[in-house]
Parts: sequence; C-alpha cells; structure tokens
Amino acid sequence: MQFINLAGHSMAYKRSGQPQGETMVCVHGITTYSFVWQDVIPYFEQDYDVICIDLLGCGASDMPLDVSYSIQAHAERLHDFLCALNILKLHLLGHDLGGGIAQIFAIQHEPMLKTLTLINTVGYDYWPVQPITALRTPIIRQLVMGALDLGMFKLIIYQGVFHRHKITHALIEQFWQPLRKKEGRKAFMHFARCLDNQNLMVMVEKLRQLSVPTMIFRGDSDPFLTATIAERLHADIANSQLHRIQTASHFLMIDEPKWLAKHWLAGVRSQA
Amino acid sequence: MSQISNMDDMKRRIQSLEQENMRLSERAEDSQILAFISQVISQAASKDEMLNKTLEHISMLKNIPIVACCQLQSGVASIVQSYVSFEHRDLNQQSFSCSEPISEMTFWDAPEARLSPLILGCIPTKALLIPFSSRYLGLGFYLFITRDAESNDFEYLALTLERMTDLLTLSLENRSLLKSYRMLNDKLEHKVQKRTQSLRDTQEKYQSLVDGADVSIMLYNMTCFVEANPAALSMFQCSREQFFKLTPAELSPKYQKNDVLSKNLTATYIQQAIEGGHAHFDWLHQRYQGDVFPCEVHLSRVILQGKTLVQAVIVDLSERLKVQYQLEKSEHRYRSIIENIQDFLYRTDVDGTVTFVAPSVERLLGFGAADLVGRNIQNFYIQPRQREELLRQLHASSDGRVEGIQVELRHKQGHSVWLSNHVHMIYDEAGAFVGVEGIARDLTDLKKMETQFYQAQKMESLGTLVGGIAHDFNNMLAGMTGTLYLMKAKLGGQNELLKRVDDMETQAFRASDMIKQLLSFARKGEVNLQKISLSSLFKEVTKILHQTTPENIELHLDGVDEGLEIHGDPSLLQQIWMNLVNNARDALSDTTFPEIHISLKKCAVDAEIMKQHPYLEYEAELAKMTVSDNGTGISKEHQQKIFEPFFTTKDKDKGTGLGLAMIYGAVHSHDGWIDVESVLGQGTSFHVYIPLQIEDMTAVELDDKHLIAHGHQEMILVVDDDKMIRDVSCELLKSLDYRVIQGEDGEKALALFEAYKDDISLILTDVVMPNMGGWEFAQLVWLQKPDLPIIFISGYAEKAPMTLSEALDYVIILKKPCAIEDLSQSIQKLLGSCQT
Repeated sequence: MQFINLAGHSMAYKRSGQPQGETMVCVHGITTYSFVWQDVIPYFEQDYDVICIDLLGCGASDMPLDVSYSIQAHAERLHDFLCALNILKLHLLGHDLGGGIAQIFAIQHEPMLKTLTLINTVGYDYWPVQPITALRTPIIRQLVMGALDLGMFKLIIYQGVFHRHKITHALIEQFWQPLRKKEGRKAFMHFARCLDNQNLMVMVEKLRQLSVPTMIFRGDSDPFLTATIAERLHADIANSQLHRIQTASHFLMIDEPKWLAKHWLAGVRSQA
Repeated sequence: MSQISNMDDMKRRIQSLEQENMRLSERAEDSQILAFISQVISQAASKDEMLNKTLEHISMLKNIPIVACCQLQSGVASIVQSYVSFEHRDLNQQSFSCSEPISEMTFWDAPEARLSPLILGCIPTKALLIPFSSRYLGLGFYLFITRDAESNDFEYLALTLERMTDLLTLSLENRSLLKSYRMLNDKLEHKVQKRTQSLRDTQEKYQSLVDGADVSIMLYNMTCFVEANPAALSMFQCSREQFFKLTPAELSPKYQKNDVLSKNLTATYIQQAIEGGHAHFDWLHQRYQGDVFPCEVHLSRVILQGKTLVQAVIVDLSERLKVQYQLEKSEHRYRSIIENIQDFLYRTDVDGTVTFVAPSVERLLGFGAADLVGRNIQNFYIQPRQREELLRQLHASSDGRVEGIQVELRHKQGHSVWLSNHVHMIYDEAGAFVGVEGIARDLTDLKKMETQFYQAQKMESLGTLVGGIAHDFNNMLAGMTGTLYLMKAKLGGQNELLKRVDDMETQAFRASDMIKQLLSFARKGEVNLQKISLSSLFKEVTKILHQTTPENIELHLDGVDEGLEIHGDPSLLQQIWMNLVNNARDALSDTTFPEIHISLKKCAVDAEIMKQHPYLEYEAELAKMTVSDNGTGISKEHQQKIFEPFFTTKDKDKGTGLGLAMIYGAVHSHDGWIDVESVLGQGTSFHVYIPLQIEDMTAVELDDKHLIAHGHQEMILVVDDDKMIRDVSCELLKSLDYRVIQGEDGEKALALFEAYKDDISLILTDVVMPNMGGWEFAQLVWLQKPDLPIIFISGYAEKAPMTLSEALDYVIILKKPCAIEDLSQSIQKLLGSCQT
C-alpha cells in the first residue's frame, strides 16, 4: 500500500503491474475500498500499470469529517491524485459510487482517458438523494445498520455477491475491517450523508456528448441498483459497449473477475 | 372541473397515504431499531460500552449529530458519555450549568446559551432532554442536539428516543443490579466454597484421623453397626458387609470374665452411654473367626442428622497386656538381680560423701543404704591409704576409670571385707568433675579360696618333698631290718647281742611307722580301698574310743546316720578318727569340763562347699565326720599350718607333728577334705568330708601275719637296683630254702629270665629302677610266661597298671620295708595258687 498527501490528507493506493504499461485506475464504491479489485487485477498486471485507490474516508486513507465526500469532491481529488502522480493518460474504471465519480471525471477531464469503464454504477436519479432523510431509503438504511452490525453487514454482502462460495470469512473481514473502529463508522456515515444524485442529474446532457470509448458492465443479479442505469448509460454514451452477466451481483469483480477481464481487454483492444 | 377536483383530491389522499405509510414504516423500523439496541445492550461487555454504543447507535440510526448522557448534581450537568457524529471527538467530561429541574422530557430551542460552555463544534438548533434516575447513574438526563434542518422531525423522534433511553437506563440499572447481585453471589459463592472447603478439609481430616487410627472406631444405631474404620475391620477380621450385619453382642463371647452374659452387659453399657453421654469399661471381644481378646471400650453418645448413635472406640489390649507381662517379668528379673546381686553400686561426691548406694550393700557390709548415704566413705576404709591410692589412679587414668582396685572395708560387725572396685569419674553437664561412681564386688570368698589354693600348693610341695625323702628312708630301713634279721639268725644264743639287735630292730620299725605316716600325708602310702559301711566302722571305732578316752573327758556321740557307705581304707579311716580324738584329748588338758563330741552325718554338696571345691557335683552326697572339743582352741595363725608335717604346738615328747599331716593325706586319699573351725579358748571342730560312692574293688587280704613260710628249693629271680637290698633279699630267701638268682635292673633281669625261664618259679622285683622298671619288666616276662607269679616291692604304694590288676591272681604288691613274715607268706601264697 502506498500513500500520497492531498490537501493535508493521506490518500492510500495500491499500484502494481507494468510501470511502463498503460495506466489503469480503479475506483471503488461505498462500503468498500481497494480490496474489492483484488480478484481481477491479476489479469491486467501483465500489461498494465494498475492503480487501485482508497477514496478519502475509506480503507487506509484518512477519514476526515470536515471535508466533502460527495462524488464531485471525490472526482476532483481523483484528478489531484493523478496529477500528483503525473498520470496524464489512463484507463478509468469505476464501480458503484466510483462509477459516478468516473462519470463526472470523464465529463470534466475526458482528454485524459483512454477508456471509461462503469461497473454496476450509480447513475441518474436511481440512487439516494439529499437531504439525508435519505436514510429512509431502504438501501442506505441497510448500509447504516450494516455499519453498526456485522450481521446486517453480512446480509448486504450476501445480497451483493452471486457466488456464495466466494463469501469467505476473509472476504467478510476485508469488508468489515474499516467499520470496526468508531472513526471508520463516522467516516462511513459522513460518506452516506454526502450522497447527492444532484451531481449526476445536472450532467445528463454532458454524458451524451462523451466520445471516450466506454464499457458498461452489469451484473444482473444486483438487488441494490436497477438495470435501467446501465441501459440508459449505454443509450446515452455513444461510444459505449454494454456487457451483462446473470451470474454476477452488485460486486461483479468478485463474482466474475475473469469474465470481466476478458471482455474489458477485448473492448480495449477493439478500440485500439 | 370535477375531474380536476377529483385528481387533486386523489393526489392529496395519495400524499397523505404515503406520509402515513412512511410513518408506519418508520414506526416499524423504530421497533426494529429498539430490538437492535436491545441486542447491542445485551452484548456489551461493560456498562460504559453499553452506554457508548447505544448513544452511537441512536446517533447513527436516527441521524442525531450529538447525543450525550449527563449526570445532574447540584445544578451542574456533567457529560459522562457522548457521541458526536460529525467530528472525531466527544464531549465527555465537559459540563454545563443546569439549574432547572429536569423531571420530564424537555425541549430547548436554540439552546446554545444554555449549553455553554460546551464545545459543540456546531450551532445547535434544538435540544431534547430526557431525564433518568438510576442506581448506576444517579439523577441526570440524556441530551440530544440537532444542528440544522434535520431536526424537523426531532419532536416526532422524541417518543422513540425516550423508549430507547428508557431501555438503556433500565439495562444499566439491571446491569448494575446484576453486578451487585453477581458480587453478592460471588461473595456468597466464595463463602460457600470456603465453607465447603473447610467442611471438606474437616471431613478429610476426620476421615484421615478415623481411617488412620490404630484403634477401632465404629458407629452403632442400636440395631446394627453403620460405620467402621479400617482398624475395626482389621481387629475383628471381617469385611464391611459382614461387620454391618453384626451386633456388639455377636462380636463378644457368650460370657464376660465375671460370668455375666455379654448380651445383657452390652445393653447395660449402651444404655449408660446414651443416658450419661459415655461409658468406659474393659471387655472381652471376639473376632469373626472366634478368637477372644481383651480390650478397652469407650462408648459415647453422638447425634447425627437428628438420630442418636453410639460411637465405640475399642483398643485391643492383647499386645499391651503381653508387653505389660513382659515388663513385669523384666522388672521382677531386674529386682531379683538387684536384690541378689553380690555387688553393690555406689556414688560419692567430690569429697567422698556417699550420695547413692544400692540396697545390696547391706549384704556385704552390714550397713544399710540409709546408714551410708550422707557419710564419708573414707570412714569405712580399714586402710585409708587405699582410698587415696584409688583416687590417685583414677585421676591419673586417661579415661577417668580404674578397674579391679582391691580395697578393705569395715563390716558393721567389725571384721574386714575385701572388695574389688570398678570406679569411674562422673561429670556434670558443664563437664566439671562432680564425684565418682563405682561398683564393688565382694572378694572375701575369693580371698579365702586364694588362701586355700596357696595352702594346697604348699601341702602338695611338702608332700612331694616328704614322699621323696620317705622313699629313700624306706630303702635304707628295708636294708637295715633285713640285715638285723640275718644278724639275729646268726647270733644264736648271744642274748646280750640279740637284745641289742632287737632294740635296733624295734627302732627301725618305729622309724618305718613314721615313714608310713609321712607317705600317708604325701598320699603315697599304701591305700586299700574297698566298699565299707562307714556307719558300722564308725560305731566300732567309737566303742574303742570310749574305752581309751580318759574318764574325765565326756565323749558324746552326737549322731550316726545309718547306711553311709563309701570306698575307703578301714585302717586309714580308723587312724583318722583315733588321731583326731587324740588331738582333742590333748587339747583338753587344761579344760575344766572337757568334752569331746563326735558325729557322722550325711550331707550334700551345697553352694558354700562348691565355692571351695568347684570340681564337686552339686548336691552330691557326702559323709561328714566331725570331732569337736571345748579345749584351748587354735589360733588363726596356727590354723594355716596345723596340717604341715612336723608342725606341733605340743611338747617334744608328746607329739611328732605327723598326726594331722597323716590325716590330711589320708582324707585326700579318699577324695575328701578336712576343715577346721576353732576359736581360741572355746574349742576346735574338725570336719572330715568323704564322698559317698559306689564302686566295686577287690581288697587284698593277708593271712596270718605271724607265720614265716619256707620254700622247697624253688628258683626266685630277685631284681633290685639297690645292691644292699638285693643282697639282703637274696640272703633272706636262701635262708627260707629258695634258690636265688639276681639282676640289678629290668633289662639284666630279663636276660636272666630268658636263660632260666623254665626254672624260675617266682620273681621278686623292685618297681622303680633305672633302664627298665618293674612293671615293664613284668609285662615282658608275662609275654613269655603269662602265669609266672611276681611280687612287687616298692618304696611307694603305687597303684598297679590295669594289666597288672587283671593279673592280680599272680601278683602281690608289698611295701618297703616289709616284714619277713609278710614276704614269706606272699611267696607261699603265689606259689601255692600257681601249683593248684
């Protein structure tokens, strides 16, 4: 794990693969951190310079409560992060909330992207809106309770992973690790409180203007996010591909890493 | 229009239903959250954790930015636990003034001022205070603060929050009570454990005590035994199952020592124990196999679980009685030893003062222990220098002890007592010399025996000396009497010369008598032992004594025990009596009322006799001849010498000093001894002891001593190393019509025998000769001519060897000098028996 200081806060990331290769940056979603990419990374490390980041407030990064954890703020920090590492061209992959961050980053910094990949991503208004009465939204309420109770949290994981045999004790421990401490729980609550679909709603039109090659992956067994998001994105983004698989749930990288890698690499090559 | 109206109405109704649905959902969710919080509370490890987590849960689930628990005391609210959702800090330990009583749920709008000086990190828009009162937290309230529009539903949340906080307070209270309960329970448990352990320890100790006891311990419930320790089962030699089926009476013989039925007596003692608490008695018990043994029984009443039982403790007395018996036996033996010991123990201090003396001292010194203790032992020494010498040796010894020191102490009756002393020094604990301890042994008897031994030695030496001289004298006398006989034969009618020669012959025979007495003393005289009735002989002698004793002397026969038979020489015994009475008679010359008492008694060897004659068999029968007079007595000094030859206190013309010497030798020839008791001025008693024995022997009886028998030219071989005797003998035999050849020793005589053995009818030979003695010569002769008669003539009356005894028909032993009549008759006797 490596760390970089951004505006006074330490940001953690994991970098592997080929330093001379094209850079691919992976952004996780809510309730997870860089570990969630671990099964798929090995397929890319042979050719790519792979970076998996821990968003601020998640994983091993600092968890300040006095900064915004909105997807817009995360997108801006991602840009700062890449600049700090002098990464000017990259393949950007986002999962869940990370997909929202990737959408904003693509609209704002499209020239930097070689490709854009959105995996079971949030989008449009199909996810919680402010104010945080959003806690009344079932998924968020579940997340909050999950943050407080391992039993509840396991339920989220069980719903988010299609292949039950992949839900190991080690995997659950990786999910639960940041929430063991009060700081992690507070950061999680701050994260949730900052969720605002307005950031995405305002740029629907800009999505339609994107020309960057985009790959949209959808695990069709995801109970949290509707398939409409993937379908609308595919419809709105001109140069996009939609890959769907029934044997994956919300955490597609865990359920079908090989399938994901195969289609992603094929997609990238086809673009080249 | 109506359609629009209907639509608006529908929308309102839908909105209303949605709101209602949302609230219902939220109510349902609140119930779920309550259960969730309840679960958190129950899983919390501590009250602090319980409070902390619950506040966090409320904050997160109900989206309340600040939640705190405040203790209210004296108008000050102190935050004991808090949760701030928007900062990584809390408000713990902060406080603010709260003067108003919070007795019910209270809302504060814009509470910033009220909550000052709390550092909230935000501008509070509303505060909710929910009071509590609990054992754990005391009085206080839960504080909920909102900071923005989120508090729109704050009042709506109030009821839910109240339920949550009630749950928390009750749980804390329960936890506190539970803690108290647990503490009490733990204490109680600890006490119970301690008591249980104590009881267990006590029980183990008791069990160990009972199981390990040597004595039998058992419990009886008036019907049967209900408990017994291993010693009891071992004592009665049965299993537990067998034992528990028995009653006390069945463990006893039918009758006790006093012939009372055990069954009845058992009931009496048990009743006594129940009523009086205990009973103690001796008892006879019976093992399962039937052996009866004595024991000591202690019964005591015990109450167990409300039931009255009798505990019996039984001690087997078998071993104790055995040991007691052995102890008594040992004590008796010790007492016997102490009482009969001939020695005595004593202890003196440094100055010689007697501090302890054993009772046996009285037997030795006549003084009792009480007479001696406290007195200085120096006073009892006849020769004080002996004690000084003893102490000198004691101090000079390397180990502080000396042994065998002989001292002479004074007896209470005045005479001296010789003691052998074994003494050692005694010291106190500090090592200082504090006195001496000794054991003294009576040496009186030893001294007496020592004296007797020296006396016997002296007498033996005298005997040897006298015997040697007497032998030579005998030879000379034999020569003289033989020569005188020849002279008388040749003097014919020369009466004057004949008378002189007769006088000479008389003197020679008197000298011969003296020699005989000397030989008796030296036990080398002729002794002819034969079985005789001493009682009869004594009576015969007594008759003669009555006739020969002067009339002024009263001769008393004090008693004669009948049937006393001995092997003895009657003539010697007669001489013993005659001499003793003659001595008594001489001792009475100056006595006013002279008396002589004689007696012959049977007695047995006792301890006193054995001291002096240890070779005798205990209780062997003896003949005791006593001759007593009331004459002048003999001094102790003279008593030591009276049996020596030629010792006499009489005038020269009255005594030779050989009488008692002869008696001494004669008595010893009979394996006896003679004692003398005498007190000057009071009289003297002689006691002669001779063993009563039964042994057959053949005595030699001679014919008429006054006849001289002549031969008929038989050839006689005369053998003697003394030429004069040999010549006289040859002359004598020739005068008796015998042919004579002569040899000077055994060897030469044997050569003559070889040459004339067919002619020789008899041999006359000396016994003691150089080269070859008479006995050896005779043996060689008899090898060739077994029935050849031989007469031995010797200066000693030596006993013949066994081979000669067997040939007694052909043998006669004569003593030098022998009368011519004796010789001629002996020759005739042997030749006659040989001819027949």
